[in-house]
Amino acid sequence: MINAQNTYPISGARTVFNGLNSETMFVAQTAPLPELALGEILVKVRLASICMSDVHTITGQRIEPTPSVLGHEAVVEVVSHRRPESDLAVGDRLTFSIADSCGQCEFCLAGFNQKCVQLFKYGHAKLSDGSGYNGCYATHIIIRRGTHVVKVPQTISDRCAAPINCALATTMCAMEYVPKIKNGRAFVQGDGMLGLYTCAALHEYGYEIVYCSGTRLQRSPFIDRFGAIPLYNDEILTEETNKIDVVVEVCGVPNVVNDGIRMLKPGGLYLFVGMVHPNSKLDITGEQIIRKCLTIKGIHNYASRHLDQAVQFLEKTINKYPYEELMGPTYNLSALSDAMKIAIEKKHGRILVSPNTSTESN
Amino acid sequence: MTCCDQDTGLTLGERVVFNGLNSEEMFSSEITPLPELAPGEILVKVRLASICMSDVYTVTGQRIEPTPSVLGHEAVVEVIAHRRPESDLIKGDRLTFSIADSCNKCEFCLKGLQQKCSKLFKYGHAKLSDGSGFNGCYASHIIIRHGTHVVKIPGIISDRCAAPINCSLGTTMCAMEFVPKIKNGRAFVQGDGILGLYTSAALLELGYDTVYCSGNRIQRSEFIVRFGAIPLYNDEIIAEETNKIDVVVEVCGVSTVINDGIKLLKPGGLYLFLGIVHPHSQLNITGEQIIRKCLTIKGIHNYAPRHLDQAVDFLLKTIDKYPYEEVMGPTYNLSDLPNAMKVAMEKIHARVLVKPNMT
Repeated sequence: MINAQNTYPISGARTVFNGLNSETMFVAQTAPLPELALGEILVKVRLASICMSDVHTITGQRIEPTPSVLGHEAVVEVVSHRRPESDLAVGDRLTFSIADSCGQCEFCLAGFNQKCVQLFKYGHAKLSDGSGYNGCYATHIIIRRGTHVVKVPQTISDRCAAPINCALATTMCAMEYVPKIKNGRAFVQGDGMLGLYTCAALHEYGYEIVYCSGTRLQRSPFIDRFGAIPLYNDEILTEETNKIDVVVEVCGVPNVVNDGIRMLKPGGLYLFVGMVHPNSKLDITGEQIIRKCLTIKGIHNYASRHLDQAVQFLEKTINKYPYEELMGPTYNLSALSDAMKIAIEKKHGRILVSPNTSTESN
Repeated sequence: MTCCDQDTGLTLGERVVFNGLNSEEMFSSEITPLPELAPGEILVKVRLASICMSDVYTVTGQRIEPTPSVLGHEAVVEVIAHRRPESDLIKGDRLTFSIADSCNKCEFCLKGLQQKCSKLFKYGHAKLSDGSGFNGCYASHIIIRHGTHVVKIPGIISDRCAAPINCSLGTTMCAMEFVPKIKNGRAFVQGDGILGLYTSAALLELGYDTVYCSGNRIQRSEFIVRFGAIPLYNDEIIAEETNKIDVVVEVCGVSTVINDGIKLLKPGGLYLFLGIVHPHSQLNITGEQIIRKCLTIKGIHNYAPRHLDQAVDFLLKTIDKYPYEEVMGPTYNLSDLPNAMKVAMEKIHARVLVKPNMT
């Protein structure tokens, strides 16, 4: 085991989610940190961010196994590891794949790790699965051996790095399906983190016009600074009917889909990213899809390569877009419930959570 | 004027005009002089036309098309005269021709989506007053316009096998363009009409290991087997093959099969929609179903010129392998079009054929 001066910590702290209908929804507990198995990495959480899917879990719109440690977005730091073939060193700042995958099944071999037959997802696993240090609302995480990790360059602060391994990597996965078109026109439906990242990515990809629609008027200066034209009414819908090459749904509501279909030009592409929950009944006909020869593609999570692409993308554009300013306040892990309440209000791109240790996060 | 020795000035053509569902006479036959050809046009006689199900939907009111018009968009034709000096066409050539006449200059034509040309014209779907009026296959002749791709039919393909090339088989080739070549691929074709049979054969030729084909005509099962697929008439397989199918192809025209298709697809799978191109195609699915399995849904409508070439090549290559001839139904005279339509509606045969009187 490679670590610094034999200082393997004995225990860590984690906030356990017991489910919506339990007496105490969140319980903080300390628990021993097990020894590492081969391929595993013990990391301390420098800074976690609250993904909207966690908000949906604690408000009952999503069902996840309980008890569990939620949280799947974080920038972490190596404490100890058993990956001798890697170049990891104690102190390295990392981002890590939300999916732990086997690397051998039909899906992994097709570059589709997020649907591995033995898939394990951080922040989505029961406490009893493996070490129990399975989520980011904790002081430590035991990263499993099938998990891809990427070092985070110095120029990227913790605040900018935290959402890489869900929101930004998912955006990179979506971009893999976007055609490189001259004078491309795109429409991003949603002004949250996914929406802003997608606007920037489309802009970097050479798209000439990127519209971004949402529900938060106060988000419009950010939309503008992320390379898109903010929209808060339906006028454009009429003007741009049949003229849009790519529409990206990143708002989580199905009622925008009909507009999206109308805007797409024949042969256009619709990416569905946000509405990965049961209340997503589509009000469309097969005829609409056929007559315009449309493609609809569902994007769920991402594969290992998209994590690499996310870090590269962020490093390349770190000074071009206001990533830092978009992040909201940082709460201590002990105040997770409060942090969740603020996250529900959707005022900020992300709410951050810092574990209750001597770790200094920048 | 033409590249062939032909006095076309006084040639008459016959066409059966569709006047609409609520008119006194739904179909009326008329005989009228054939106009002179403009540059790029081809005067062809119809050797044999076939009745596509979409025409049946038009005459039963489930589809609305402009009227009055000459319906019919599937046919094998023969060159009488032409004004394409740069081509190698000669009188007597048997041809199939693209259902779409396109401009080849607009954004859609330039990216190979000619079926969505900004100036699209579709044979069998155009008003009588558009151009020559010899715009559909339920006629003795067609004036093929200068933006229409044509392909010669090799001698070993009979008229009966050739007629449906320029809708069903061309469309099938277009669909196949999106099908990934996978080792041990498993596919599910929802529909046992002519599109379903062509698709089954095409998937088999692409190397798919297991191709299921479901439909509602038990009598079609023998043909399904001979077109390379496993016929299905109950739901048992759906449970067994849940999450295991690489490609599902909807070619039956009913939207109720979609949920089964989505259940069958494995993560990352592809769903091709071909048949439900009519308003009664409300989908009963959620965005979650599409996202969680990272599915792709692709709508296929008509085809581009290259798919017509591919269709002829495919048929030539497999003409002795699959029972294309046997699956065609009886031939009716053009004057008997209403009866032919009635028989087509019964869906007993893959196609009902129509032969003009004058040729």
